[in-house]
Amino acid sequence: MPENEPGLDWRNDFKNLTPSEFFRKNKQMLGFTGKIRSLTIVFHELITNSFDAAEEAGILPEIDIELKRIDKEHYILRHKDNGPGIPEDYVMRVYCSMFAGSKFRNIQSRGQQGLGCSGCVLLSQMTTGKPARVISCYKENGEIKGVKMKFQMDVKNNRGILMEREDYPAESTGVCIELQFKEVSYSLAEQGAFEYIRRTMIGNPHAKITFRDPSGHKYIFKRAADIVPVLPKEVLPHPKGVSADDIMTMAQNTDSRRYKSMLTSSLSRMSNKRVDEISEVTGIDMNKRPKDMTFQEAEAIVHCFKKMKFMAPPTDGLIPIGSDQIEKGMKQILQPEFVATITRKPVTYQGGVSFIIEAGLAYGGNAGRVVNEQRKSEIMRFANRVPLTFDAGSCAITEALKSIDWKRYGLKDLDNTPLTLFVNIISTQVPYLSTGKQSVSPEPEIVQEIRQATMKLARKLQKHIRAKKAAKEKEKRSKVFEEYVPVIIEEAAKLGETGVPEYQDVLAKVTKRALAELLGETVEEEEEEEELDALIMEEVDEFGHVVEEGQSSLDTFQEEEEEEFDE
Amino acid sequence: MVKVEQEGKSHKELRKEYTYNKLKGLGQEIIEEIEKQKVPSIRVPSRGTGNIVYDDAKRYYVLGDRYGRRSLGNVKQIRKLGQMVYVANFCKDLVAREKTATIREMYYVSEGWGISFKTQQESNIVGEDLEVTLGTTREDLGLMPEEDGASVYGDITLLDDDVEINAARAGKSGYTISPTIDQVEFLDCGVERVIAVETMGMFHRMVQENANKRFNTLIVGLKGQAARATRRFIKRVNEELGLPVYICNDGDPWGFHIAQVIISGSAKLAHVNHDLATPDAKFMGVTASDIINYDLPTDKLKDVDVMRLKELAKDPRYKNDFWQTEIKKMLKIGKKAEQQSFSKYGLEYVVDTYFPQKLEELEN
Repeated sequence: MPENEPGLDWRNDFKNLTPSEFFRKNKQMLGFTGKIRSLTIVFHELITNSFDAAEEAGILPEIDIELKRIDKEHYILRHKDNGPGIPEDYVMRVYCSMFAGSKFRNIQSRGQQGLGCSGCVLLSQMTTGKPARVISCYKENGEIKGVKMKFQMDVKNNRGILMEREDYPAESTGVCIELQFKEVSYSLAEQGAFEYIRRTMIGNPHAKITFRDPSGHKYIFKRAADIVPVLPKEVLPHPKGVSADDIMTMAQNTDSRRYKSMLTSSLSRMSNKRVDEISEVTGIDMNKRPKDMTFQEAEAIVHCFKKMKFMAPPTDGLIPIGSDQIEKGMKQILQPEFVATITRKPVTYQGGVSFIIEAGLAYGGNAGRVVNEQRKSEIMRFANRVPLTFDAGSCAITEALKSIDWKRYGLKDLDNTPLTLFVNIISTQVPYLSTGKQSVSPEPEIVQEIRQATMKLARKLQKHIRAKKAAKEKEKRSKVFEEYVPVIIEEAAKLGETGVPEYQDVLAKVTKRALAELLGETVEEEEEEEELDALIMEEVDEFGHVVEEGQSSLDTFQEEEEEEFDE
Repeated sequence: MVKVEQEGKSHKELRKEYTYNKLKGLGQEIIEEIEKQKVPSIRVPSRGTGNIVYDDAKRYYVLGDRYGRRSLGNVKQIRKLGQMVYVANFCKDLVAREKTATIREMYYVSEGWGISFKTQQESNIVGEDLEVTLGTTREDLGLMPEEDGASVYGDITLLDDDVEINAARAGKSGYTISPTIDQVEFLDCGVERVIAVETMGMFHRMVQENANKRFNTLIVGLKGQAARATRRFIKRVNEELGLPVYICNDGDPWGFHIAQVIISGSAKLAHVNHDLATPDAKFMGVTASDIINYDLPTDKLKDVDVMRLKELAKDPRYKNDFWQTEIKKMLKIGKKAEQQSFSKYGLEYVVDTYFPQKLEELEN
């Protein structure tokens, strides 16, 4: 091929297309679409990384974020955590290399594919051309070291270029990163950065976040729980949850010598007996070397898996937030009048991927969102503790919650109820609908679990609202008794020409009975009394005919009386 | 109790004492319950249609034994119970002081009570509740209706407060029966019977023709549907003075029923019919037979008249042969006639001819 001919220079152009270069051209693949969303994604990536790092080191996460506005759509973000820090040699790898140290493990994780931090640096550099500044303080051989660095990303080579470096007097571990962004926007909207932090705090009550917003207002989200979450364990994939391609990948990377041992060591719930069954059904020789596996064989094996029955996958790899923790988080952030939470038992979708649904419901107080000075209900969606703030429409969580008949639980106007609904799905494989990982696929089992969990909470809320109403009624009713009983007894004593007896016991009795009636304990009796009352009242004219209901003046009177207690 | 004390006491005094004690008893009943630490509730006889029965022996409507309760422990009823106690106290005071008040007056007085009435209707119902509960009439309780009583003309001497009145010397319109007729005493009487007529037109005709003297009778002008006081008066003269009572009304279903209410009482006031009904009173006319026999000028029965007659035929008060025959006859001829229709034969005809013939018929 002549060198001067126009067209692709294969050697130079194609080979050098690094992940960084790819994402520079396709930043929407990292979630950077829209001004508000881009900033929220930056918050998400940095916070998530800080949490993961702190938790892995057994540290309760504490994050300080400061967002300064330099100009319209131009911000400086300072994000500081108390994690274990990053050793100097790794700082630029973490922030400048895509897919560095990526974790393709079957593990419950907050993070994405390890693009997060470098994605943020990439966005910063693309929109402002400014370098990233990082201070990392970390322990090395029992000693705290600190380093202050200024660097840029070499997109073409998927690595960092150091610009400045100096020692930093470290006092405690942690990382502080400063980045500049343009073409982003800070907003208090539901999809905005502030709301993201607020929701994060509910799903992660063990964290503390201090946030200074562009107006200089400082928000302190206090820690509601003092326990570092248990780290999720890696679990082997379940046969029902793998594809032919997964099998091929396993075969390529395994240390096993035969198909048989490869399958039993790479998948959960897979015994030798099961492998023999597969061999029998598919006719594949299970003693072959994994490296020789063909795609057709992998397909046949997976097809066979679908027809077989397996025990549900082990669930010890799933670590839910826990209903107590969710409750603490919701109480801390929403100061609700009523809160109920639930963590369901693990179940599976698609026959083999286990997941846990957690739900919380907060009512009253600061629950719900204020829209036009009125509190409205809101849905907070989470996957593995991470708030999902976009693409609500198609999400399994939204679908499940919308499908509930809220009227059955006494909520006639759900939209205008001060209510926060929280749903978290915990799984090693959350079935996201799109690359942005902002909505969960509405698998029937998932939708069903969310419904079950939420309806249970709704029933509790209904009880609470009823009890509250009853208490209010009781107060009103006992007021009626307290007002009338003494007056009537005095008047009766005057009528009977006797003294006024002690009547506190009777008063207590009627007040108590009124409450019982309200709680429906003696409804029958009450109905009977009303009937007898109607019996007395029935109106007859001179000729012994019952006066038509509509014409009776008694009706209006009775209605008035009803109203008195319905206010 | 009442019987023992009866000697030496007037009817008026006895009734006063009886009512006063009943009211006082209501208060005592409530207080006793409280002392026993029970939640007081007052049994109020039901006034619903299902509880109004025609008593064959008594020949008037009475209340059955169904009742409801007004309980101190029920939010919906406590106000009514309270109002009842207030009304009772108000009435006890009226009775003690021998005063009366109209129900409208009571409604205004209630403004100052611990539990006042919201509407006149509400106070009327509670008044009626008390009446039914105690088995006393509202006149006994001192609560008066607004309506006027009827007129009486003839030789009867009454003591109304300190005033002696002879109903033949009270002007051509006679003595007006007051709502407080129970407080009036009968001093003397020079007649043998009572003839009540539906309209004041007929009343005046009779006065002009000296019917009171010619038939030795009291003439009562009912003014349409008889007021409670009028019915009470008729019952009293019938029972206390032993005077037979004859009622002459229009020959139509409405005239029949005005008479019947005097005779057998009304369903609405079943709880006080024992004080209002005069079962021995007799219907003198105008009957369907009279229409035929006297060839009276008539009007055609309207649909509503026919309907009403058919209702009456089913009414237990009309079950005897006389009424059944007359109702059927009227339906058959399809005609009705007014009392005044006798004027066809001259103004004096009704007194000169009709009444003597009818009295002859009824008394022999």
